[in-house]
Order: sequence, then C-alpha cells, then structure tokens
Amino acid sequence: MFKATIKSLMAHKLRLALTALAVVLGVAFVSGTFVLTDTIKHTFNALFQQTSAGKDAVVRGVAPYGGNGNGDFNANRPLTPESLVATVRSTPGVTAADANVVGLVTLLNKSGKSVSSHAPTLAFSWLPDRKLSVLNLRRGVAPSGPDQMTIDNGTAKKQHFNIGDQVTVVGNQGPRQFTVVGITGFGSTDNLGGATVVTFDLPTVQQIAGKSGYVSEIDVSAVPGTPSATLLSAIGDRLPKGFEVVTGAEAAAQQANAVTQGLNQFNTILLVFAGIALFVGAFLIFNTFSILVGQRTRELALLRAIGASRRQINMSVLGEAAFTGLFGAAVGLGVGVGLAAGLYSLLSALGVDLPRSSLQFEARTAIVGLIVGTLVTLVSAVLPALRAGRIPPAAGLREDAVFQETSLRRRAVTGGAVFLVGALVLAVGLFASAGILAVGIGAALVFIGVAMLAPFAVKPLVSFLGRPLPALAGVTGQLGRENAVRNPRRTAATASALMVGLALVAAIATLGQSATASFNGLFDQSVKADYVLSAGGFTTVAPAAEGTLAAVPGITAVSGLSQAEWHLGRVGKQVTGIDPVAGPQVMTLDMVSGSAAALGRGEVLIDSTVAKNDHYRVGQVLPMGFVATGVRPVVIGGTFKTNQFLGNYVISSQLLAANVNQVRDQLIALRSAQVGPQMTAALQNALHSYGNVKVQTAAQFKSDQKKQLGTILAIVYALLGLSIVIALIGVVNTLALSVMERTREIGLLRAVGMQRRQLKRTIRSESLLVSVMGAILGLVLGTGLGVAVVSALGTSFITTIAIPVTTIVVVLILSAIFGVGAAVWPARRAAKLDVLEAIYTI
Amino acid sequence: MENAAAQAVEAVKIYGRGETAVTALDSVDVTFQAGRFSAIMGPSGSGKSTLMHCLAGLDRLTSGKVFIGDLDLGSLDDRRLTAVRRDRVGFIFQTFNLVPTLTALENLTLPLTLAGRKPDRAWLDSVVTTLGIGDRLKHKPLELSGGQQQRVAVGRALVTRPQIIFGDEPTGNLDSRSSREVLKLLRNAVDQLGQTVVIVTHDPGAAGFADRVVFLGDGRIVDEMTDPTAERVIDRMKLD
Repeated sequence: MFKATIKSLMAHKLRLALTALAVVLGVAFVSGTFVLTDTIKHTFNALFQQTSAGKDAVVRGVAPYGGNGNGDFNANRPLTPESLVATVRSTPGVTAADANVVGLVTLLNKSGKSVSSHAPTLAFSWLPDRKLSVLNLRRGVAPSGPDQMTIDNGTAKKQHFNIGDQVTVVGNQGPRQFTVVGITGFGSTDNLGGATVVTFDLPTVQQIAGKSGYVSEIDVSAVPGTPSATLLSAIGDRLPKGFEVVTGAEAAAQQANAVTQGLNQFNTILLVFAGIALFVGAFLIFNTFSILVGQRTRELALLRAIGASRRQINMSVLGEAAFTGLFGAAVGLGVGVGLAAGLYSLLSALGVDLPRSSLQFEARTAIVGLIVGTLVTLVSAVLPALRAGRIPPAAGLREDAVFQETSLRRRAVTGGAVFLVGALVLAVGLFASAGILAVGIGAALVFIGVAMLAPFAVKPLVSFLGRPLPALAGVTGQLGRENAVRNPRRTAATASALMVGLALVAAIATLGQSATASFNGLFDQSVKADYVLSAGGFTTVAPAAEGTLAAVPGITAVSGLSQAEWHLGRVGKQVTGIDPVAGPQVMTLDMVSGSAAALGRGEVLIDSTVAKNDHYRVGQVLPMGFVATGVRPVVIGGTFKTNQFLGNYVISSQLLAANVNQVRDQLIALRSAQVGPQMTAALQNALHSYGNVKVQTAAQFKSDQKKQLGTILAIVYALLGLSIVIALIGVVNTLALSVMERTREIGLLRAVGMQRRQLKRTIRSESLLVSVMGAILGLVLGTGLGVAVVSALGTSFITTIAIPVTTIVVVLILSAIFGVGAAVWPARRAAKLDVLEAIYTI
Repeated sequence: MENAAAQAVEAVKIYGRGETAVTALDSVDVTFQAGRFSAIMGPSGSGKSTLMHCLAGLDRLTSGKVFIGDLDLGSLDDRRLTAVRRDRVGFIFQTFNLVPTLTALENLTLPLTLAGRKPDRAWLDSVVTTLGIGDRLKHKPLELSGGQQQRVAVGRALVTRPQIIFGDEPTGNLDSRSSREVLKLLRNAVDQLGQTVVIVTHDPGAAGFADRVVFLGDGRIVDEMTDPTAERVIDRMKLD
C-alpha cells in the first residue's frame, strides 16, 4: 500500500503542488514570524549584555507594581534621589558609581522638524566612568556644561549632524540650543533600534528630561574579583526602603526584555494572521483531496476489489496528505527564513538600525512549522480519506461510477449545528467578555458551518448571479454557469476559502467604518477646543509649549492633556491631567455632582458611570497609587458624564506632574477667538522651535484621525492578503482539477466547433461565478460579524454602526477581477488540449 | 471531382518518429460524393479512424491534402479549422457525444449557438420530428437512453446542414434495435434531406445501409464496393 501511495503522489504531482503551496505559504508565515522576532530579540539581548559588561551592579527604585515599563527605561520605577550616589560610592568594594538619567526629549533636525515622527528621542546622562556606559564615543568629546550634547551616529549620519553643529532640543522647559561635541555608538551599532539617543551632563539632563535632585538609576562598578553576592549585600545594606540593587546582567536582561516586549505582541498578531492563512489553506487541501478521491473512485475500487482493506485505503490517502503536508511545511520553513531575512533588511532600510546578526532559526521554529503544516494537511484530508474507504469494490466495475456522497440532510443538520454552536461561542466571547480566544473559535466554527451549508446556496446563488452571463457571453457563459453548479460541494468549498478572508476584511471594514462614523460625534461631544495640537506617532509634546501658546493673541484657553498610570491596589488604571482652569473650557466636563473647580483643589473627578458602579461618592478619598510617588490619598471632587477623550479619572496637570517621573503632553487643546489660516499660521509660528507639533483646527484633527485609522486598516488588509491569495490558489486548483476531469467534454466541445477563446471564456465565467459567490458569502457574513462586534463593544468609543458600502463594492469588483485572473492558467491548459486526444481520453 | 463533399489526395499520416514510426495512412486518395452515404471499413489498425479524423479536421496529415468541398484544410489555422468543424462538418462519436450540463435541445443546437446563430425554426422542427425525440428535448443527457443520446447526436450533426457528416462507429455502443434506428435516421438524412454521410464501422450490418463501402488495410485503400448488402460485406471481409 505504501508503494501505491508513493505512485499516486507521483502521478498527481501537479495537483498536489498547488495544495502544498497553500501549506508552504502558511508555514512560511509562521516560521518567518518566529525567525524574525527571535532574531530581533537575540540581537537586543546580545546588545544589552555587551553594553552592560562593565556594570557590576545597578541601584534603582523598586518597581512597586512590577512590569518592565513598556519599553521606557525604568518608567515602572520611582526615581532615585541623587544623594544616594554618594552613599553607594562610599560602599566598600565599589570603585565607581555614576548617576544615570534617562528621559524623553524632541530633537530637531536642520530644517526645524523633529528627527523622527514615530520613534522617541532618548536623553541620557553622560556617565563619567566609561566602563559603566552603554554608549561609546565614536568621535569628539564628552558633553560638559549647560550647552553641550552628543548625538548617536545613526541620527548624525541621517540628519547630517556633525561636531560643532548647533541643534535645538525641546525638553521639559521648551526648546534650547546645544552644541554637538561628540558622536556616540551603541555597542557595535549606530543606534538603538532606530531610537535617537542624545546625552548631556547630569545637571543638564535633569533639567530638560528629568527632575532636579533625582536620577533614574545608579550604575556601579566594583573592585575586580569582588563576588557579586558580597557586592550586592554590601550595597543593599546601605539602601533605604523602596530601593534595590541588582547585578548589571540582570538589569540588562530586564531592559532588553522591556525593549523586546513589544515584539511579543507583534509576534502574536502575525501568528494570528498566519493561523487565518492556514485555516483558509485547510479548505483548499480538503477540497483537493475530495476531488482527487472522487476522480480516483474507480482506481480505489479496483484496489478494494483486489483485496485492499478499507483501512489501507484510508491510510493511503492520509499518507499522501502527510507527505504533501510535510513537504509543504519543509519548503515553507525555508521560505520563511528567506522572508525573515528580507523583512530584517527592510527594517534596516527603513532606518531601524539593527546590528548585523545571523538569523535565529530555533528548533522550536522547525518543530512548530513542520507539525502545524503536516497536521493542518492531515486533518483536512481526514474526511476525504474516510470517504475513500467507503467506496465499494463494485464501483470499479460500473462504467459511470458515481462517487457516494454523504446525504444532504445529514450535511444540513451537521452544518447547521456547527454554525449555531459557533455563533453561540462567538456571542459568549463578544457579549459575555469571555475573551478573544472564544471570539476566534466561534468565528472559525461559524465559517466551517457556513462552508458546510454553502452547497445548498450554490444552485440558487450561482443561477441568480449567472443570469446575465448567457446574454453577455452566449453559450460560453451558460456553460460556465452550468459548470459552476454541477458540483455544488466543490464550488462551495472553493468559494468558502475565499469567504473566510473576505469576511474578515468586511468585519474589519465595518469596525473601521463604524469607528470613523462614531468619531465625529464623539469628538464634538467631548471636545470644545477650536484647535488641537499633537505630535506625530508615538511622540509627545513638552508641556512648556502650553505657556508659549497662551501668549498668542486671540487664544483664550490652553490645556495640555497628559496621561499617567495609577493603581488601585494592584489594578492598573489611567488618569488624565488637564489644566484646572482652562481644561474645562477646552474639554466637555458635564458635572453630574460636585464641581470642576475641585481640580484646582487637587481633587479627582470621576466618570459618573464608573462612580456609580464602584460606589464612589463626592468627598470620599481615592487611594491613587503612583509608580513615582507611591499611594496618594486624593479626594473625589465630582463626577462627570462620560467623555471618551478624558477617560474615567481626571486630575489637574499639576497634581499629575507631581506624581510622575516626567510629564509629556499627548495633546494640547486651545480655545481661540478666531479660527482660520491666520490663526493657524500664528500658532505654527509660536511653536516654530518645537519642531514636530501639528497645529490643526478641530475639523482638521478629526479628518487626520480618520486618515490614521485608514492606515491601520490598510495594514490589516495587507496581512489578510495572504489568506486571500491562498483562497485564489484554491480557485486555480479547483478549476485545474475540473478541467482535467472534463477533458473528454472539452474535446467534444472543441470537436463540434468551440473556439479556444470560447473555451477560455467558459472557464473564466465559471471562475468568476465561484469567486463572486465566495465574495458575497464572505461580505454578508463579515458585515454581520462586524456589526456583532460593534454592538458588543457597546457604549465605548464606537457608538454608530456603519456599513462600509464602498469597501464592499470594491471587494466585490476585485473578487470578480481576481476570479477571472485565477482562470487564466487553467483556461490556457484547457485550450491547449489536443482535441483528438481529449475526446478519446478514458 | 464534381460534387465531392470530402476528398483526400495522397494523404499520408505517420505517428511517432524514427524506429517507432507507424504509418497510419500510406498515400490514400479517396473522394466522398455529395448526397451519398458511405462507409469506411477495415480491420483494427487499418487507418480507417485516422482517415476520418483527418478528413474531419480533427487531426492533421503528415503530407498530402484533404478537402471539405473545395476548402483545403491543411491551410487553415486552429481558429478557422474549428469554424469548419462547427459550420461545415457534423459529428457523431461512438460514446460521450453530449455535454452533460446541457439539455438535449441545447446539445442539439450547440454548433449554432457556438457560432452565435439562431436555429432555422422550420429546419430544427423537421430535424426534431425526424429524430422522434420531441418529448425529451428538455432532458439532460443522463436522463436519456443510449439510443436517445445517439439520436440527439445525429440531430446535432444535422442542425447546421453541414457539407458532410462523419460518424465514428456511431452504433458501436448500441443494442441492435437502437442501432437500426440510428442507421435509418442517417439513411433518411441522405435520401430525404440530401445530406452526405460517412461512417467508420466494423459492423457489416451498418455498412449494408451505405451506398458505397471503402475498405482500408495497412493504411491503403484495398477495395471498394457500391450498393453493398450486409452479406456481400461479410463475404468481402472473409477474404482478409
């Protein structure tokens, strides 16, 4: 039987090649993701280990709520008093102890713009003891005094900065001029993963990016040969409560971890899309094996007749699947490595300077890739294999052996049940907040259920869709339509693969459209400002800009909006800081109880719904736990109607500033006597030296936000693209198999006078119908799914349900075009068939 | 050469190359007159099917010429050759004559619809009446008996009023009763509708319906017989 399996594999090379291609693409996605993120992680770990080699110990505040600061160095710890430096330095065994400060600033390039609109600029203190520093001086000298700084070599090269240049850095107090005196490297690379790094002497960096009298951490080097434990306990004994000492290696590992933590999310997101691609691939594989088993009915019956057992037939088909899957997965692993290498170079080309590092191909990548690829193929082939086993030996003796299909009724019942269970799980996931996993499983079951029920829809739907075809394309259109309905299961399975990808597109589009439609209303309800100023991407604005803006004639109120994390017990929450006087003028604060004036008294305002649910009353004390300053009792001064831009908790910007390591504004909102190009120009002029602040009227801000949402949607569509490509490969595969199956018929048609181009048109018509059917199923299902998700999100930031009509129409048109495109190769094959050979094929 | 519906001149067909080359037609000259019913006979491998395929534009000669009417098929590209098959030639195969997704009527009119032409109502009616399948026109091929399917195939061959109709063992897969009916239809087509029919057959009974039998052997025409009867054909075949 093993031999028969191999023979069969070789005989169906071409048919299986396309099946394997689905596995190749899915596994490549999985392994590429792993290799890329492993490589980046490895790179950072190596880098931090390398640069921390000289640090024997690090003294820092204890992270009161754990965590690793989400990539910001030590953002999860309170600052350390500078006075501790002397204490540490005088500890026996310590040879050097330097105050290390890290903060965020904005660096302007030579044309007055921020050097980066998406990555932050990190300001470090220059460590006098060079062994302790993560940075090495490539050229120039160390910064010293209030007007000197260094720049990393990556930024210097890109922005053409050189030693002696005057540059503007926007820090806590606003823009300030510095002279570049040195160029630094980060280990062997020019900079740290694309981030710009500037350094100053200690007092300067404390002024512009930290707090006077405080440091982020103290870096320590010890007398050579001092055992780590001895050093740690000697220092530890001298530290006050709330501070800790760890080895340099441990601190480096944690920092590397903080930098790479974002990667894990990135990893998970990519794997989800890889999973979707494999799920779609499963439809293709199932369909191919079903068709192959159907076409081989007589051959398999013959095997049964000469004594092969049902089990042997099952195993033969599964063996074929295992080989296909394993082969596809192995190729996919290779392709994935190439993909990762390509992406790595792409990131480098985009300015994320990653150290040259060999690609990390871990055993886990190979194991997961091979198992996933083989398993998906095997599972998809189980039903066809079982069906193959049920072929009666007599089937081989009949001329018109018809493949025994499972009864339609059973299919309807099973499909309906799967659909309902899926819908239920989905509903529980969405409405009972059972989590994203339940949503995913529910959606997958719904897709499978619909795919099982889809054959029932084929005849009416395709007949309806194909109605104009005979008029448009004559008998070729009619034949295409008839061919699409002649095997409803096949058409349904092919269309279903396309359905999955397009359903997700429609669902995402519905979400996006609803969010966009909701945004205007939400913005108008929440924001009273005439102007909204923001920095691009993940960067923020120095609060000093507020004062500059307030001085512009015609501006009546200015408030920054800054955010901070606080904790109630161990639970993390967000609080927004606004100006106590101007804040309520630029933002809507509809007080339900108490008064907005409470902000000025250092009290907290709470969303009235939250207050009601958590039983808060005005006058009660809320114990707000801050990373920087510990638990602060804050009186509840009032409750306000929900404002999505302010969040659930609002305090004054002064109170917020007093309880964080560094304040940066997310937005600055203004009230202005007039709105127009003149005022916009005046504001831009006032903030000229801030570089990266976008001055936008409320209307401009709204449309800008929508554009950003559009960009995110485009990325999601691109990630779903692979699934759609796989589904289209499925269309190609099914058509190619159908053409092979209909060789005789094609010969006959050609013999009685069908032209090659007519034959091609017939196959294109079929492909068009199958694709459009998949698109319609997907778009209907996806829009429904999107509406369900939107309703489940309820009252938060999406308030309106909007159907993405444009996207739906575009997807339909594209599906038709790609459907016709998918037929090109099968149609060419069909047209090339020799008429005589075709018609005498048995 | 007057009234020649199809003609082969020094027709040579060689399959394969070098040592494995097989000569299927070895300089065959033959003319099939319009308005007559002819049969081609000969043992397996005699080249009778090859001759028909080449005459019908399904296959190309290695050398020599074939004509449908006065049209030299060798000079045509695939598009024109296809149009010749569609418009000037009718076909009846042994099995698998009909497209399973189309109804009997749609199969019958297929060459016309492929050409983008409307059937001539009166002609179509007379064809359908002659075939005696008026009540089965809306059925799909799988719902028809073998004989009925073959009659639809005859109808399809007639519907364009072609210059010539070819049958490749058109009764080879039928029981004797259905066989007689199909052969009678072809005889009627010649006698009453003025059509030209050429069939390949190894059944002397079928050949008995023809006006003329051409015998092939080893790729050459070895004999021919006018106004054959089944008995005379059997006697001739005993000579081989």
